[in-house]
Amino acid sequence: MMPDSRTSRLAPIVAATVVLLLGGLLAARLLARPPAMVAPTATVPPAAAADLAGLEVPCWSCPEAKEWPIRFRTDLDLLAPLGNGTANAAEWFALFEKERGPRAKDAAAFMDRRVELPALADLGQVVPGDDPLLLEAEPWVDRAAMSFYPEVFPLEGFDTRITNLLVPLTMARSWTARGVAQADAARGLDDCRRAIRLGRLLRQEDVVIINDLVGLACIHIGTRGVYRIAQRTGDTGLALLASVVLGEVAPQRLYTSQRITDVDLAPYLTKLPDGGAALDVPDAVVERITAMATGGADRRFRGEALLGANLVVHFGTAAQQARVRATLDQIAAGGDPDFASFATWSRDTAPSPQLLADVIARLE
Amino acid sequence: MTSPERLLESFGVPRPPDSLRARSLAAAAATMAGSASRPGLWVRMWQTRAARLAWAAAVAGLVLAHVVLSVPARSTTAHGGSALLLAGAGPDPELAATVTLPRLRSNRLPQLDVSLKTVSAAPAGGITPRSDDHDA
Repeated sequence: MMPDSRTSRLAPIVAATVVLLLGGLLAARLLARPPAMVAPTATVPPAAAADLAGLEVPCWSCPEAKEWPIRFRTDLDLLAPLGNGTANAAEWFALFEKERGPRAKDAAAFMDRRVELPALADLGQVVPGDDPLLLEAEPWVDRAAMSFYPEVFPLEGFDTRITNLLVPLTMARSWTARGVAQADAARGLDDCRRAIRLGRLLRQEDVVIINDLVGLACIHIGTRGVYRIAQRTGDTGLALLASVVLGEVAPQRLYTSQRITDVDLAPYLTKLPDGGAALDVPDAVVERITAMATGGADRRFRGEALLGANLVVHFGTAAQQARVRATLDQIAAGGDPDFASFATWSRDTAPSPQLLADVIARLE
Repeated sequence: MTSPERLLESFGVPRPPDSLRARSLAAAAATMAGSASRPGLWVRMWQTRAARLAWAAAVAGLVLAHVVLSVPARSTTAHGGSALLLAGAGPDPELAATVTLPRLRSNRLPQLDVSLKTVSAAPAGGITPRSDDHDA
């Protein structure tokens, strides 16, 4: 009789302890998660009045364009000036890095909330205008600066990390969709300008091309929204300005293609039966790689050139290896915060079989 | 005159009834017997079906919350992807339309306005096949 009585008294104590333990552990895990970052207050100045009489259409198809930096010639402050927020916007956007980012799950859930709006199908998939992550992002786009490298991510050659760029791209699409759907044109333009500001921030750093291309896409999407609203409201001046900006998008992509093709070693790499690779590259291409790695107005091409240098310094002819090694020594010793460590990686790290396979497979 | 002893005796407490001890012991024994057979408040609560269901639901909810917190982020690619375009491993298939560039040989971009300039025109070109790319 006594054991039964003791058991019947213990059961509720054990049951309550289980609930308390599970609840306490859950609270501890929730508290251990990274706290939500709050963007400091910022303001965005109004777009400057465009002097339409002085507005030029940049001649990207003229011969001199070959020497231009691959950036907008039109002053984007006329369309969407940046905000004055002090925090680095990259710190927030980096949270969504795939797999490693502390908010990677939020990014995945954000992607799952995307829908296609039949009336705005050209924008692709967007999230609803009141999506919580979209609203949370808004103050972060009012920053004056965005810098991932090396403040947030180190530059580590092939292993250099990037954030989940689908997040900002989807945000630019979603703000533009919300803006175009707005009955209030002024509020709609604010949304489209927000998309343009995000694109400008992504291009601002000029360290990796992929961020630049996504930034260019954001500017393109937002400016198309501005054009549609201006057309609807009969604001021909704004529509003209937007159309000039839109005309600058495709040439920048084409010139980026051209420069990338100039230093692309994929056509010269051959996979060997033993799993290795052979490189048979003209000296002229090697010269272009060393030139791009050391100079040029557009710094974002240097990383791509340093990747090519990594292949040449390990698989090129003896003369090519010596030439590229000297260049890499020079960059590594130069102390450039962005590319000195990158050059050291390029010189000292043998290309992995995965890298070789990826480079070769890219053209297949 | 009454003696002091007699006077104090008149203030004395009357003796308890002789049956009190027996009755008290009998009552105590009856109470003890009753409490032994009747469970306490917590035990009684534990024995009700509603309380057991509530406990089971609370435990199940808490376990589910732990499981949800432990599920790793879903990823559409095997890895985060390289930041370098020429590395080949793109960051995300959905980004391909935005970051994939056609191959364009150097000096092969269309120069449409050569009539305005004296610089010799480069031949117009476009996407170049791989086999034609070995330009020294």
